[in-house]
Amino acid sequence: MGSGEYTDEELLILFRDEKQREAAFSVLVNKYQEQLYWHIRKIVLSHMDTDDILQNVFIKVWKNLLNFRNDSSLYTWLYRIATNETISFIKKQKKNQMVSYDDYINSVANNAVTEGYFTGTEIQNKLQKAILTLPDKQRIIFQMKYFEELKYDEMSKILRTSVGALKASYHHAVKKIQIFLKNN
Amino acid sequence: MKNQNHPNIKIDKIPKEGMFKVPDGYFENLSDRILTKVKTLPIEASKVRIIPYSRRRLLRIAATIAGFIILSFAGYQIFQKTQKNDLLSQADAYDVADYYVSEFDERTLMISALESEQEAKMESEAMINFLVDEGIEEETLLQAL
Repeated sequence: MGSGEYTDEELLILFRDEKQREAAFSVLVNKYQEQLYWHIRKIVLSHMDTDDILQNVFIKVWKNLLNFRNDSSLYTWLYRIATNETISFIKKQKKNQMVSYDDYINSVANNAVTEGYFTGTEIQNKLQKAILTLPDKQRIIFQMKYFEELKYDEMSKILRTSVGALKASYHHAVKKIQIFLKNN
Repeated sequence: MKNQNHPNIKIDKIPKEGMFKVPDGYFENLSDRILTKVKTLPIEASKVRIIPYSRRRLLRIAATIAGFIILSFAGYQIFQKTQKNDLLSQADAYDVADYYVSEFDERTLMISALESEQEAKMESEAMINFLVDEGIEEETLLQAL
């Protein structure tokens, strides 16, 4: 099965058939893995952490896909699971580190660099540090708008937040980042 | 890392691409790795709704507040009854105490207390499920409370 050959609806039908379940799931993973990977990676920065979160996301998808109701598109549902898993991860990470906020930001940014999979310039690194200073939800909103260039309508469905609130949040995030870049 | 001077830099001038790398071949074998993991896991065929973290927390708060109000009301009722009982003569009070001591042993009272705790837990869960099923927004509920 090639990922480009099947629509989401077809994949869901195949997944319901026990004999075709694994093949259908494999196609689904191939279809969405990169989008979800980059969505998570740009929030948590580290490749290793992204890999862990992404695996958890697909495990949840596997367990719950039979219960998926077409209230939203499969893409929105997957993004929502990925976003929730990422938020949970960030909260756990902050709780476990038991260090000051500045130390937390430096450790997350430095880990990403020392892993060897961050190849940004100094200003790109500084931008990432600025993003880390934002509150969790604002950080995700900024990331989705700025890096993924998602439309507010799509973001609204994924985050279950009104378009107005998203716009306001993004505006505040940009301001805070500008100030951080100016002062640091 | 390249060194740059960036006084008053605008974020839209910062390049968005080329910051991150992934290990070679990462995406080629990701689905195999995931499939190996999930194959052994059960599938939850029951009707489960994934509630976002933020909603889950608010629903818990709302259910706790609702539970607190119910308990406060029950407490107030018991307090009122106690006040009435104080009006009984001392002798009547002793008679009533004797009656309860003879009617209930310690074990019965402990079982009753444990059952009440269990019921409270179930009520809290039921309240959350009801709010989710009915699609009642937590903000609306909190405002009403």
